[in-house]
Amino acid sequence: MNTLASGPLLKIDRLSKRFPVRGGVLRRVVGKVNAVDDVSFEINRGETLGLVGESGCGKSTVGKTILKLHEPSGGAICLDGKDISQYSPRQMRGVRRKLQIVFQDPYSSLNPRMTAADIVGEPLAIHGLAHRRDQRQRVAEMFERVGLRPDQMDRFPHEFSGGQRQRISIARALAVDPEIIIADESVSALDVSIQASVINLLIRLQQQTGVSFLFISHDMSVIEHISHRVAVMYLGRIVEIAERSKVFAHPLHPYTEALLSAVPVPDPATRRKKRILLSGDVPSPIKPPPGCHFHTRCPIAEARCRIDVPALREIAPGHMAACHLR
Amino acid sequence: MSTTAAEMETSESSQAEITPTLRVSSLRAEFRTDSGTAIAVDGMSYDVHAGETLAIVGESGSGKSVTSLAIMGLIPNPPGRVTAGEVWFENHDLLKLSEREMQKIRGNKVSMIFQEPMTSLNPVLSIERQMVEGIIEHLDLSPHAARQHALDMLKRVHIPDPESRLSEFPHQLSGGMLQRIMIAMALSCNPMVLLADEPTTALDVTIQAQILNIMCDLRDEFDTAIVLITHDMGVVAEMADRVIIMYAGRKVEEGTVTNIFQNPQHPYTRGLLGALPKLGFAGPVGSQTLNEIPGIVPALTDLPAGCRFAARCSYATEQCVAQYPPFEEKTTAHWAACWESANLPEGNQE
Repeated sequence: MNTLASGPLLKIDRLSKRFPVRGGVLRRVVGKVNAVDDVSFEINRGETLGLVGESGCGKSTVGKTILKLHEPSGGAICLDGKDISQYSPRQMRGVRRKLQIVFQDPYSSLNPRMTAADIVGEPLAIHGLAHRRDQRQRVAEMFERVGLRPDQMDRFPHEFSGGQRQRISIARALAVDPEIIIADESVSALDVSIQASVINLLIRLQQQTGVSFLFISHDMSVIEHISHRVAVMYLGRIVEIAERSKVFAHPLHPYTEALLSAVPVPDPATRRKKRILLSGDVPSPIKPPPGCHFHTRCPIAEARCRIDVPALREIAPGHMAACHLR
Repeated sequence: MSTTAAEMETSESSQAEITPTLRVSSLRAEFRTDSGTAIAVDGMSYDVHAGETLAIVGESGSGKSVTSLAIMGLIPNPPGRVTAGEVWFENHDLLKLSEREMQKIRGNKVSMIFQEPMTSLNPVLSIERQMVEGIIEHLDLSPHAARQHALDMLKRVHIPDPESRLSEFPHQLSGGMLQRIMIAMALSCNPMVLLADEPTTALDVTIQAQILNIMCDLRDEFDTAIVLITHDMGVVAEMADRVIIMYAGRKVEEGTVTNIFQNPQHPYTRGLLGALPKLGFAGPVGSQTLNEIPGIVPALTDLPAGCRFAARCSYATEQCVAQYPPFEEKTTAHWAACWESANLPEGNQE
């Protein structure tokens, strides 16, 4: 770790990402989507921030913009106190070692023509972290750390099961000793029994190495299990952010309440409890409703919710939410 | 009908006197693959009654979807083939019907909803074309009456502005909207059986809640028998009356939803319940380890002689490895295929 250990490891400040919308025969730009709209949060060392929301809320775009796989449209991305948002691709290369990502689909995110050892070893070579002989040694260590047998190193991705492939992805991210791993729906495609073992692995790795996670998921139960703090997104904006127990036990935003209430509970005894049923779908991000984006589905919306954008403010100590009525 | 497993089971249960709406018995489906014959479904039997929801739970490759495709006569042949079993519906064995006879039943009296609403609808036909076609075909209505019926069904599944939705194409609608349209289509001929294969898996949780509600309401209104295929124990707990757990092509446990969740008799079921992160977990991060089921599902081309779960089971004995356990009644109306179920420790999960 370095001398700046006192401040947050990653500080996202008013980050935004707009995509052009093209239409017509000439593919002219006819509008824009605010996929990420004025998003701010911090992640401390050894901490997991859970970023939760439904499809199209922009949670994956946040992850990709932090990695600069998308160029940010505005705002700052401070890693270890340095703003990397304006870094050139060459400058980014030095930073990438600290920022790693594990994607959702363990089938398409591994090169089928490379052996598992080459996949895990490649970032070591790129960042010049290990010589040829040390590299195999290091890869074997990584294999053991993620619960794979080192004697399977020379196999190809198709010879592994989905859960094992996700472990290879995690080993690849971990090989360069990153400070933060962005896990984008990393356990969502796995069967429950396999998902459990990958969640256990991520928590164990954090305890061993002190790595931070930005854990992006749509699954409230998984988010609650793994996160220290939780941010809830809706149509590009963060609507609530606080420590996990605050968000889950005392949600302040009506959207968070509805999300929690919609999760089916695996216990038939609690069946038919009163649910908050949201009517309708998530509006199109191309034409989000004015004011509070959630007002079209909100059970308690009032006139001003349709006009004024609610600011994210501290409603209870350490508990931020963007709602006029709380 | 000979003495099938389903028959023996139901004759002992309280439902013996009521004729099931659909009875599947000893169904076996095989697929030819490069590495040999894969037995995707091996001796699957179940009954489902009017107004009841039966959940079939299993992980990828357990055979839960293939079972439904076999019932509907939709297994692609080659490489697939139903090699044994019977599917009784209204005094017919559906597996013996010709394709033409099957077409009269499929989408009419026995209907199916698939996981991916996007890929189950024809992208170049309007919603109206796709809905009205089936209604005219099965209910013998005039085009005008069929259109009216389609509108009614769309209103039933709470689609806003159904009139304009009818003229739209699938790509103009959201996933939740399309799945509601699929449900409206599946129910438009008032089916007696609805096979719903992961109907909400691709949907967001707030939309899932809406769809599950709609399915419950429609089941209660029309007395439809629902077979709900899912991997999500939360959805099972919310929806099901009875539950079947499948593993590697076979049924390993069957019982009422309360029995399955409170008193599971198979280590695999206990393992699944222990693997779920549960909402309301309040301890510090890392203070609770989720149960892992070690190992992976055996290859369907190379199944072991004994219990198929034995290699991953912490209670397995020599007998488990050598001999497949019988599917037997452990407590009233609660069956499991496990030699060791009497010796499992207290509690409902690993």
